[in-house]
Amino acid sequence: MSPMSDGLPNPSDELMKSVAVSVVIPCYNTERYLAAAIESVLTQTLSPTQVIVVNDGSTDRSAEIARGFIDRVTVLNRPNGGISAARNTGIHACTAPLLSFLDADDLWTETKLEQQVSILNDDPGLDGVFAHAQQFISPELSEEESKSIACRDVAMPARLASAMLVRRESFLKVGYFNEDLEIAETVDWLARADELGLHFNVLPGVMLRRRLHRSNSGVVKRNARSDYARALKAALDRRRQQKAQTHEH
Amino acid sequence: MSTTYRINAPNVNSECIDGEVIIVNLESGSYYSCVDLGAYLWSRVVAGDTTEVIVRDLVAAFARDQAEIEATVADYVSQLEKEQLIVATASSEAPGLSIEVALPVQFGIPELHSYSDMKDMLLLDPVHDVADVGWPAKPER
Repeated sequence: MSPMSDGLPNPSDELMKSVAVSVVIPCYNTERYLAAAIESVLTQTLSPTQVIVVNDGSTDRSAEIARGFIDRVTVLNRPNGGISAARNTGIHACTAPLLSFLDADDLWTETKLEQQVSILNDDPGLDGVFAHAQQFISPELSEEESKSIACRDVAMPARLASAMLVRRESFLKVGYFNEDLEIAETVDWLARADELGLHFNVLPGVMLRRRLHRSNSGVVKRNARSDYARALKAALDRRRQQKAQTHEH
Repeated sequence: MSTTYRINAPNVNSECIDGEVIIVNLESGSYYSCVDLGAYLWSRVVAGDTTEVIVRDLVAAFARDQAEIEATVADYVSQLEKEQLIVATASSEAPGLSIEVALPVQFGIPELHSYSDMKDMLLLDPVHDVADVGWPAKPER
């Protein structure tokens, strides 16, 4: 790796040449936060080769904001179908051997891709890497609103889509996100990945900043909380089936 | 007087799928599974039924000694409370949660299976930060 500057490593030419990363940013009515999310991707110390914003039928200015980055970002529009469908639309268009995702209200720290790509390059046995995440309260919230949110202001290991970098080939072995789930799609996907024996590391550094605001999908879609139970039940059933098959053999 | 309980909302939610109750605790990141009598007891407890009424119904349904059933129900409820899945409440509170679980054909010791393999994901979900009345009300502690 090249010498450090400003405390941050500079990606070597070799690293830059050897990797290609596609980034999928699904968005639905996130006009307030989308530009910051895109910028956190475009200002990475290791630039992705492809950035795809999937506008999932937004009724606000999200599409217009995404088009403001049209020289560096591909914008795909689709009818509203939820975050899984939007991510899947983006994945279909991805061409790079490494895939990553960022929710339109969250932010990457600037060396996220570089650190994760470096780990994957060094260890061909790894299918993907996650990182730590830190929550923050969106600055536009009033003091009163901010006080009402129980924000865990500590670095937490984050097996979340936005904190993941995964080999495209490995991702496709697991399959696409379950479009029937509104909020537990990553729990479901990762359970399937674990069952296939895929190998992931969770890197120690904070690489994802997770915004808490008035309309986090988990908050807006409170009625979809049963998705967790459904995803977990499906995972338990698959494991039992797998165990039963192992015993049979 | 017998105690009543309610589900520890908003951090705990549950669903009965194909006869199996899955309980998710977004505060601890753990999730649980129970079937048969365990699932049935969960449904009765979170519905707000008193342990006294539940025991009475089980004694009527199974040819078992009342003391044995009382001990079984007490142990299971104590386990649910210890895992912070339910909280004791005054019986005059709002109606409890309705989950349809059939009475099992046979009496068997109820089991609550606990899992923590999805902890990191469940803990990061913003759902647990708000109360049932909606954003941005602070959850009761």
